[in-house]
Order: sequence, then C-alpha cells, then structure tokens
Amino acid sequence: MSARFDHLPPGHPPGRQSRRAARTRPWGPILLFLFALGALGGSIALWVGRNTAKSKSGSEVGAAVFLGVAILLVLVAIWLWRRLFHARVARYLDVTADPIELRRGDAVHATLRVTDPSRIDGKLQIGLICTALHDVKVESYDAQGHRSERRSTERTEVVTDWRDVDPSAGEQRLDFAVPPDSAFSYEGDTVSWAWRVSARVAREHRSDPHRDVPIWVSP
Amino acid sequence: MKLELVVDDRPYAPGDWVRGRVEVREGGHSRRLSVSLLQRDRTADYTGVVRTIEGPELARGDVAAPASFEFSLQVPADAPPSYADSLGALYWEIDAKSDERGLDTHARHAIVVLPASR
Repeated sequence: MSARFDHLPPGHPPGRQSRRAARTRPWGPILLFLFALGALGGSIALWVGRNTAKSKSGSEVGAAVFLGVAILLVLVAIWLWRRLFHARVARYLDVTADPIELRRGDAVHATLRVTDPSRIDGKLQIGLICTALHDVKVESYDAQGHRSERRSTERTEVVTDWRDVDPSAGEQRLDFAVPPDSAFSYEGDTVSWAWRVSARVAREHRSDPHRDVPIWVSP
Repeated sequence: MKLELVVDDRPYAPGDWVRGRVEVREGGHSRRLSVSLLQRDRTADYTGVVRTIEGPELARGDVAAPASFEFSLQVPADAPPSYADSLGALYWEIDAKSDERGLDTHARHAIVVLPASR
C-alpha cells in the first residue's frame, strides 16, 4: 500500500481523483523552503561582506538575524510538511480488521491491542469509518479583486461508529456492521468513498493519534 | 440537429442489455451518429466520466428527420450500482452523440443500475 493512497487496501488501484489529488504539489512547504534559502543567501552575503561594509557589527547582526529567519522558516516548512503528509500515526496501537474485503450489510471484526498503555493520554476509541472524498470548487480573490478558482478534494466522514474501549483491558475484539444502505468503496473522478477500521486516542484541542486499516466494501 | 433518446425506464442489473432507440427530431449535418454507455460521477461542483462503453455506430454522414435508430448496450458485469448521497453521486448514462463540426449534439438519459445479486 502506497503512503499516497493509504485509504486503499492492497489490490485496489487508485482512481482518477486519488491520482489527481496525489499529484498536487505541497506549495506551502515548498515556498517556505525557498524563502528560507533566500534568507540563508542573505545571511551568507552579509557575513562574507562584513569586512567591507560600513558597519561590521551591523552586518554580523544582520547575518545572524537572516540565519535565524532561515532556520525558523525551515522548521515551519518541516512542521507543515509533516502535518500535510504524515498524519500522526499511533504505533502503540495494533489494529487488525477481518475480513478486509466485505459487502454492505456484512460485519467486520476489529481487534485492538495497546502495546504501550502509558502513551494513552485521552479517550481510546475504535471505530468503523466511511469517508467521502469529494471535489469542490474553491474560489479566491487577490488584492486587486481578481477571482481565481481551483479544484480541491475535501474529506467528509459520512459513516462513523466510534466505540470507547478500555486501554488496560488487553486485546479487545469488537464487531462492526456495515450499514446495508450506505456508500460502498468506490474510486471515481469527482467523488470517492473509502472505508477503514480505525483506532484513535481522542484528545481535546489536540490532534488525535490514530492507526488505520483500510478495508474494501463492495456493493 | 435535434436528438431524443427513448430507453425503457427500468432498473438494470450488471450484465443486462439496455435497449432503446435514437429518434432524430431535426436533421442536419453530421459526421457520425453513435451511442455509448457512460459511468459517471458528480459533486455539486464537478462532473466526471469514469468509464465509456462504446456502442455501435448508428449512422455515418448527414442525417435526415424523421429517423429512428435502434441500439442495445450491455451494462458491464462489474458495474458498480447507482448511488447518491448529499456529497456526490455515481450514475450511469446513455449518451447519443452526433459528431459535428463545432459543438456536437447530444441526447442523454440516465439509467439506474442495481447492485449485483449475491
């Protein structure tokens, strides 16, 4: 399973929408990194030319400030990159789903084992989730009022069945039924539906570390 | 050119044949008249074509009215069923197309595809 298509179980190729979304460039981190390179260049230029500058100490302080800005920008770029592409995975949650190929109306058996209970700092839950990935038109305006449009793929959870579990109870097994009239797994051009069994540590005002097992629900 | 699609309005199962006819209400210049079955999906802002099952060529060259062309198209055995929720829809559509200079003329008709029986 590719990390770019981690909503798909093995053996199910991505559709047009998933491939298109995966091609989207992470412009935010890229731009921040380029600005950081610019700041680093400015810092080097000030440092190299400090002996010929009107104020040597001023150049040195300027070089230090530019270097600090460059480091800060790189750190923000890394943070943004990780936030965009590396959702917080809870490796201390061991989740399995059986079967991973089923039909609507069938049940999936989820097993959760917490390998390090000391890491649970919130409400431990396991659930069956269906996410709709749907394309929307996003409008934006520049300073001159010119309108531009771009296509964005949004994620909305359309089926959620979260259940609280006791972190100290050892291995736990829960059964979830896929609603017979719900969406099925589908890889489309403008809309897709993806199912998963997920375990998470729900925390207030912070991101929820989680571990997902994608499953494929046939019609 | 003005086309109309006449299709039996019933649900279809994967593997079923969709039979119908293309009625030419107004004739005109055409290079090719054809019919196809499209698997499509849509959201509130976008529409896409996922799969095209080409049907037979019904006519070649200019078409005069009135005329009627019968066709049959098979729903693929692995066809996903029609489905819609508040965020998007997966649907199937018959598309009769007159290939013309400039904008083509279309007549479209959505059909309901049922889930494959267990």
